[in-house]
Amino acid sequence: MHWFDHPHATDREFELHSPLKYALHKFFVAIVLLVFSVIAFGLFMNAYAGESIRLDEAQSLWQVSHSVNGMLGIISEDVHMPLYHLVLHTWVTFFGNSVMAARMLSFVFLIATFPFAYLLARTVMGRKWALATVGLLAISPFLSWYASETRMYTMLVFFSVANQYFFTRILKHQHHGWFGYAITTILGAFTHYFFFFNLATQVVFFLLNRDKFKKASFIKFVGVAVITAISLAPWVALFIHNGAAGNMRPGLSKPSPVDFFNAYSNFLFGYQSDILNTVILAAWPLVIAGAFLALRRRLKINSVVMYLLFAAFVPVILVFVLSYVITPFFLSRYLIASLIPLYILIVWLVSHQPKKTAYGALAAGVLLSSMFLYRQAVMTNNPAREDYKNVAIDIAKDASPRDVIVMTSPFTVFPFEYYYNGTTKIVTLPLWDRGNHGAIPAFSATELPKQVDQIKKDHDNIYLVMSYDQGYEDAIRQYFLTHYEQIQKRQYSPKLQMIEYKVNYDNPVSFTK
Amino acid sequence: MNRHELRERFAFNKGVAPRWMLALNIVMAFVYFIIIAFLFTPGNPVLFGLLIAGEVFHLWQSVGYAYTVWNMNHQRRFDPAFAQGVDVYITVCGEPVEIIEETARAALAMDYPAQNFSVYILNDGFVANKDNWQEVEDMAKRLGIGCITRRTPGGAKAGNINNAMRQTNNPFVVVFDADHVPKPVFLRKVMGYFTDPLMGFVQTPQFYNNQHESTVAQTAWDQQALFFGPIMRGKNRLDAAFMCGTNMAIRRAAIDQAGGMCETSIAEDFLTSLFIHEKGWKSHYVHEVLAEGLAPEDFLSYYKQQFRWTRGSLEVVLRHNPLFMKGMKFGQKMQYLLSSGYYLTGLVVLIDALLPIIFFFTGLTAIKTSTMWLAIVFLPYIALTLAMLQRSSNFTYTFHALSFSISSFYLQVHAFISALLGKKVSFAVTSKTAIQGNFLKFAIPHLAYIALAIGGMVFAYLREGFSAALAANASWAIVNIVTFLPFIAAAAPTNVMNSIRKKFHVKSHEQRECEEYMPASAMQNEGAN
Repeated sequence: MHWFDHPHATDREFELHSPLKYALHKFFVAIVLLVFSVIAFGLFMNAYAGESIRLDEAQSLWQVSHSVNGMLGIISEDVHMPLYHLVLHTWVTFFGNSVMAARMLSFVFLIATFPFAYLLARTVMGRKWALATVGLLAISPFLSWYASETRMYTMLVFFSVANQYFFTRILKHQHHGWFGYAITTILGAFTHYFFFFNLATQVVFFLLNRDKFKKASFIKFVGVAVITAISLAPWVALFIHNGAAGNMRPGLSKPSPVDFFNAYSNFLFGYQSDILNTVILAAWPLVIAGAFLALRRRLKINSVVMYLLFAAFVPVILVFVLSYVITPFFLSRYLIASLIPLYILIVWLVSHQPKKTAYGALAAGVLLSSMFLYRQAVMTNNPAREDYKNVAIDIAKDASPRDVIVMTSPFTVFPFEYYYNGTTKIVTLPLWDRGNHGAIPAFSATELPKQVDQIKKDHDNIYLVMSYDQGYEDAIRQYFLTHYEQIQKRQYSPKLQMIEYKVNYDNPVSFTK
Repeated sequence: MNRHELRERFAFNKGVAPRWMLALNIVMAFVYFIIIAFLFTPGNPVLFGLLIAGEVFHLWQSVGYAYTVWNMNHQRRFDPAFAQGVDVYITVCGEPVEIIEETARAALAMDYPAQNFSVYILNDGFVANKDNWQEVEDMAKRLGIGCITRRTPGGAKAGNINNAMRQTNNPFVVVFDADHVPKPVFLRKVMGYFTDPLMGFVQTPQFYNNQHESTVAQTAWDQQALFFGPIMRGKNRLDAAFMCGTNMAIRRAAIDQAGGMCETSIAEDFLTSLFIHEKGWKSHYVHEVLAEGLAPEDFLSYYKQQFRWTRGSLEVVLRHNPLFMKGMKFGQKMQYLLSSGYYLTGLVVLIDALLPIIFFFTGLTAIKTSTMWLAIVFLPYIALTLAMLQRSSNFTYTFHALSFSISSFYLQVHAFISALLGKKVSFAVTSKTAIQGNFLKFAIPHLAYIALAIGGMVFAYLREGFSAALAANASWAIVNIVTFLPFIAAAAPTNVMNSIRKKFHVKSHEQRECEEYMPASAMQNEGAN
């Protein structure tokens, strides 16, 4: 084995030793990354092309349908940063606002992530294993799910990984990477609030490892922080002025250890059925076997590996603790920036095993990932699935203009309407006049009978579409169950069901329309 | 040997665990224990009691380890001009003459002021009925060194040393096993510590230079590296470094005061150290490889050596409990208790390993709690413990070493029962050449465990279907099985393992270690040379 074929030879050593071979090598890496991109595209087209639009996606599309100023106003009332929507706004101008076209933007960010993921992996392992990491990322169930969702998560991954890469460059070379670091810090901060946990992790790492950085680094980091703060100031002012998303925070409960480990289960295995997920989580002791196998001579945790450990775990721990202590905001998709460091760490551990074991583990990883990806794509009880498409198609087929469709979470009206082309009136519970600006009215149990009476007036049947429980779904369900005759009930996805009630007896009940 | 190879070879004594890591580990050990013992709902009271007993032991060992390695750089007074007379003993009991000769020649070549030392071969070949005892005498004559051949048996190695001490008179003695070849600087680097009049003995690492010869030898060293790296360096500051039978220098007055080398125990070095410390003498550990010896290369020799160490150490707990010894400081008592008590690990491993099996067949559990709560307290704790272990041993501790340590549970339980019953065990010299054979009988408990675990999983599945509890317990059983596998493989007949490796083109553990030993650049240099 020539020395520069050694798995730990650096690119610089390689470049200096044989420029031609280095150029060929870069070309080879580019080709392999391209192949992985094609694989990811194939998965994107095959697995998720027919997937129904989800609530958040409908919201994104609705938000970008406004003018830039109008859109920024709406987003500043929401819990998200504006960069993704600005990019999406431009994107749909060129490519149209179909679900597929909008989702393609997320996919583009996934592909753009691959080179940075490779470079980040390359800081701790050889070329072969860094490429293997990207290969695994290309078939990662969780990444592929969000690469096909019209939301900012792959954009968050892109800026986070790029930012992590530049941070490791600073860590390794001290003078390199500052410009890239500053740019990705600012853009990442404008992508998602949870990008700040990535930065917080770097602060913690820096404070605990001051000796690994040059003294001037501190001033430079402060400089980047100041520039980022100045850039963000106008947005923060607007955000605070518009109520700091007081009414828009997702209604979440305090996270439990199950949620904590579920985040990592999602990162590695994607969204699986509750039963399978329970089994995966219960098998956590196997992690100990992995840790034991990782006890190998000379397998040292250098500063970059240590940083990757921080990047993979500290944000999740921080969010978990803050969600527990302050206010719940623990969602695995918000923490997606920890996914790539986690993959790199796993492949790094595998790459240090004996050759046969390492290849066997890699093959097992590919097999498992493919299997879970397939399950996630095809199973109807995928907990992240929201099948508004089929509920809209069914109601359009069944309901008449004498009926009424009631959405129990007012904002779910957007994804439903995306597919619904029937003539039946659509209302929400609690009643919400979308023509009027302002927040969605809060649910009131005392108002419920009055509002239902108002809705059922002049209608035969109510198609109650229940999803996204905001804490009052059960009250509505109980009210209808005790007051009206249930005609049919269908479950479309784990959290989306449609129940038809007969509410007016002026016309006989008909089961076939 | 190039500089890189040298650095890697002796990396074991350069580890440092940051204090924050040690402190955090102690805190987490207590937090983990408190949660397990007081916050989780107990399941079956017997199983819960056994689990808690095991956790108390883990807590003690874990906190004890952190306490030991808290400071590994204790400095002592050293006089490079120290030149008092030394008797160098090479203990022999039937080892091949060429091995003894190499050691004797190296001993003669040691550098010391005015060469004020005499080399003696302590030949026990006659009393042990070894064929080559006369060859050893001839060899000693040829080299012009003394040979003390015992005619009256008794006291094994300790008896051999005591016999020699009666026939020699220098104020200091240095002991080497027949296969431990000293470096020329040995005396120069060791004797200067005796400038402290209270210094009783000085120990140096028992390094194995044949570690790449077999999986067993490699693993034996990987285990030793942890002991001779962080643990002995840590014991140093507490005056609790103890003698390890070879590569050591002892003040005659100290050993005399302790009543000579203890002949009633098969761990004579350990017990004699205890008695010397009890008399108020100090000890020092020089963490530099100054002699290189041979590790047991085959499974049988390894097993016998481990059994001897375990049995001897447990005897100390049962019959000479350091806690009740007067004349020793608290730190010394704790260190002796930690070292000898370590061998009770086998009982705890057995309990922990049986918990999933009991669940499979009875459905009984030690605690009733969400397995994820257990995960959230256990995973950070074990991760930190392993990180602490690796940092303190300079990343020299390996999965094989862990596997052999955990898989020695049966050996340790056996030794514990034998010590408890006071069964007599003879001292067996570790073989210096590999013994071929089928030693699977030593892995029968492990094979039985695998069979029980697989059968149990099926049984539990038929009883309750695929539940979270079954998945968790099956995972624990798999962790145990994975940990046992290298031990079982080492016990398997050599030809069987070789044919398996050949069939699947798998390199042996020691081949891999050998290859990984040198970086590509070094390999290239080797090739060029």
